[in-house]
Amino acid sequence: MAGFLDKERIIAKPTFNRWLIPPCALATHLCIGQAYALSVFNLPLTRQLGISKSTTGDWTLAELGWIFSIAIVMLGLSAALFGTWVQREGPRKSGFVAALCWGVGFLVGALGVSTHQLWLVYLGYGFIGGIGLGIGYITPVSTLISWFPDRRGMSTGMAIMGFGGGALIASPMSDSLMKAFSSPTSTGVAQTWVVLGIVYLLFMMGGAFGYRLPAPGWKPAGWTPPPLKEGALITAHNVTPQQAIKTPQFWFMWWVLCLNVTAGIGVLGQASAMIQEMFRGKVTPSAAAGFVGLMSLFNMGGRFSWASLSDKIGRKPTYAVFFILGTILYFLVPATGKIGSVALFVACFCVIISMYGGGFSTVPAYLADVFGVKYVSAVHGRLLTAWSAAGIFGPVLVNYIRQWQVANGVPKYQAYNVTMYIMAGLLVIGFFCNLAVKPVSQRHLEAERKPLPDGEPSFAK
Amino acid sequence: MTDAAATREKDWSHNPGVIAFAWLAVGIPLLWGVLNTIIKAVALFR
Repeated sequence: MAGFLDKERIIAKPTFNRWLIPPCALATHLCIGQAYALSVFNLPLTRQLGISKSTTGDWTLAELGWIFSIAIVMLGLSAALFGTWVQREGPRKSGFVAALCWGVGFLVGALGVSTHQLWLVYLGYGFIGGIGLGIGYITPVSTLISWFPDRRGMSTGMAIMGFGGGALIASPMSDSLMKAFSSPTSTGVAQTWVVLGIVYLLFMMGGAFGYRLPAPGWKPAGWTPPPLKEGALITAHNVTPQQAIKTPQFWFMWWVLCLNVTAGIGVLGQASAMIQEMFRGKVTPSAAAGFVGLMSLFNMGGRFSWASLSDKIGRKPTYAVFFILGTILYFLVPATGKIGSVALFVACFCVIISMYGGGFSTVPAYLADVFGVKYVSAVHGRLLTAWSAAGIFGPVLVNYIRQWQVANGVPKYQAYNVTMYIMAGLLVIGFFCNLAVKPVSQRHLEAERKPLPDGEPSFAK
Repeated sequence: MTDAAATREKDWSHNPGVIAFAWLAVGIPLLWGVLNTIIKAVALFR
């Protein structure tokens, strides 16, 4: 008998309605997307001892910044390390483990907050929670691609849109919970983390138990796979994760993702400060917060819309659009500051951030096209190390170049100009990396068992 | 019947109530989050 969490148990009947799978994937991603809203806890966490204001012994913002950094590094590492396991064990078991890690991570973190032990917060939210992030992120990918071979981009875009949307839910929910739990002796963070941990655990478990896998050979009714053209990027074969990382295609795509993310992640963290400094006197702090909110919406919307568009125009052309349009827009940003047009500045960044989100959501379908569907979660997991790297490059580029500019006498409203040109330059490099992605050589393809007339299987490519 | 087939779970996917519940369970929180963000974003245009 197959175990309760086993892959064999969740093979669906041919008549299963595949539209039950996207909400399960969204249940996972909406929860782990909370990571983008972690900053709402920053200020309360700096006054855990002083409560109304920071006092001696309270944590600093720099110390707290490591919680997010550890979580994102663990996301990349765990996605890379456990990708093959996720693929082998199926979405129910991996969704179950992701839910446990994410929920327990919050609870251990809450213990750290209430006892004022920062290492416990690093261990809980950063390390354990980070593993939940990585496993949870890749869990629905191959399941969705298997259920939606006709709409690979749209289906993964929908799930990864949930990662962007998770922060939109978590931010106001955390604010409300902290208000409800705060008292003269508590900031309410620890209690909020306990509630979030339990809610996320239950919600993600619901998603994990809803996953089903299509039976081998299943196809959507009335759909026939399009004929494969000679030299086309889309393959009907599979490349194992071990082979995939030996191909130049993998590393070109690694740089495609890394450069696209680097260009977006740096400005995402500095958006509020940037708009206020570039348009001094014109943009208030509350309007800047509105700008950050607007960017979150475009980040989320871009994940669904660009990935869906990639089903129509192809993955490679979609990334080409990201890199060409992104370069033009980054070049335009300093000009918007020069002419004092807040509207143009906002429009530029909304499109840029939509393409940042689109880069995340289009990549699983791109990988499935190039390396096949069979190991896509495992290959995707390895590719996500590019995100971890970009999480370091992006903010460092934006922050340090700005600091260096200001230290050298450049007025604050012009301090981001060089950064924008550097981002544009990175996107030009990304364009050429994307251009270099070609079909995988025959020698990297997995050998397939083909039965001989006498019934003995042979291995052929 | 194989072991795997015997342990396959019941197919709820044809129950419109189950499909609606699943989409509402993720859709309502998401819409609430989007609405909150839009309200915040309006400050930019004031």
